[in-house]
Amino acid sequence: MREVFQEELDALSASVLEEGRVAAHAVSEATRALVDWSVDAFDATLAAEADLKRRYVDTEVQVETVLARQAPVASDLRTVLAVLHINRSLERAAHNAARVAHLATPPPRRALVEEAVITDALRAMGERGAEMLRTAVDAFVRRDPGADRLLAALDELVDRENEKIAETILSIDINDPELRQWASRMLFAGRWLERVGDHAVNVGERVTYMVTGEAPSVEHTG
Amino acid sequence: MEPTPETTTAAPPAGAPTGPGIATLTVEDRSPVDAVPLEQREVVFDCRGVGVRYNGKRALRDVDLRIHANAVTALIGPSGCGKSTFIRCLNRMNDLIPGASVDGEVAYHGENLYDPQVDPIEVRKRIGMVFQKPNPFPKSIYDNIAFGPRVLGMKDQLDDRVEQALRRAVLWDEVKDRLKEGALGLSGGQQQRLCIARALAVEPDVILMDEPCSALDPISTSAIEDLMLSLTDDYTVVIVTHNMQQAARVADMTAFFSVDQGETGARCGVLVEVDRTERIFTNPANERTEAYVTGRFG
Repeated sequence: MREVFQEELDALSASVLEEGRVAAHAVSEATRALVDWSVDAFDATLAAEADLKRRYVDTEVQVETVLARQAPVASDLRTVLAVLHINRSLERAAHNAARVAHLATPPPRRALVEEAVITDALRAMGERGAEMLRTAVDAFVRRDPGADRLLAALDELVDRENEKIAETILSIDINDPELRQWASRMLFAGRWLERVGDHAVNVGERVTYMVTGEAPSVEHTG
Repeated sequence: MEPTPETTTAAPPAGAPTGPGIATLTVEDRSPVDAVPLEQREVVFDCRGVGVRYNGKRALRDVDLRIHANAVTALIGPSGCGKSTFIRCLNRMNDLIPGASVDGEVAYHGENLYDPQVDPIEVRKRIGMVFQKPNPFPKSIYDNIAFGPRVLGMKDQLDDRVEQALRRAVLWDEVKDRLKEGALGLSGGQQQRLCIARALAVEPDVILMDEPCSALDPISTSAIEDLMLSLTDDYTVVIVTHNMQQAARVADMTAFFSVDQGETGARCGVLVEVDRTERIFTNPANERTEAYVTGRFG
């Protein structure tokens, strides 16, 4: 019954799965561009972001069509609404990845311990963020209502790394203009990578809503 | 054609005594719709273990359902699930079907509707009914509305009663200049609103509607749905509908009925789930409800 509708729902799920793959790739490449100063990685990040923007628009049109033509209710409605939100979160995650890539610049090589601490923290945040996006989308595919808690725990780790970056930057000699400029860029990069984690948590919460009908918390909106 | 009891709100003869066992309610006594949560509003019907048999064959069983005041309660479900049978229990319309018997208890404002002391005619005055097809009497618009009050002896200020009933049914502006014209000249949607006005004219407490829009076009359907919502200021409304989107649009509470098949193959209607409408259409508790509202069953 309602075979066409089911096919449309399956297509939406496939779109989310592919968007999740692209978003995680964007974050990985952005992190590589940021800490390894790879031009290839920079290009790959921007290509992934552009790819995801196209997919975002396509998915939104798909959602609009399903709502208008199929009038979904109950679990079908929750799935479509979850896709609408997840679509946005993944697009934002990729956009943040592009912001990170644009901040890539080598450190001034003062051979400070702090430089390595900041770089390592950013790498950890980027890798964790990409992993969180893959985990969140995997939860969507498996309809796993418990992934939001795991993602929230992982997000705590991301937040801690970001705090470490901020504390380290505050501890270094701010009168060195070259170092100050680099540190400022890394501070922003940390901020955008931290937001990637938030978007992954949002995806997990939407999956929980999709499966259980429980409204997402307001803690991680946006 | 003379109206049959089933095509009216079943008014008793003029001057007939009101039935014992039912507290007298007036429009003034009813609470206005306010911010009182639905579950905290007065329980108009408290149904416990309600079942119906036709000639001994069970058509509906074990319905436990509370219907709250000043709200629209929708009964949905596949054909043969007993939702029309159930709504007819709420004003003893099944009494008019030979071989029909009702078991369980239907308490109306706390009093057993099926107590032998209760006058079914009085019940149907308090609990009016509107049917699938508009069924105006072959009389003038005015006389359709005035019929019930006249036979009930409510003859004072009859013009005002007619006007108020037509206003409440959102029909007054369309018919005020042709009240003496035949009701059968109205459109289908207007005829259905006339039937609702006719039910309202005898100051009921509850309006039951059995698929009131199934014979109407979308514009008329929209008018009736708007009317249902406005009626909850003063009345309790129960509707049977096949149109799930209609239930989603108008109902505060939705009850899903389905069909159980026994070992002998006999089919019997059951109440599967009742909840706030938004819950039924976003996150129903029962898998059968989910399957029905998503279109995967029935």
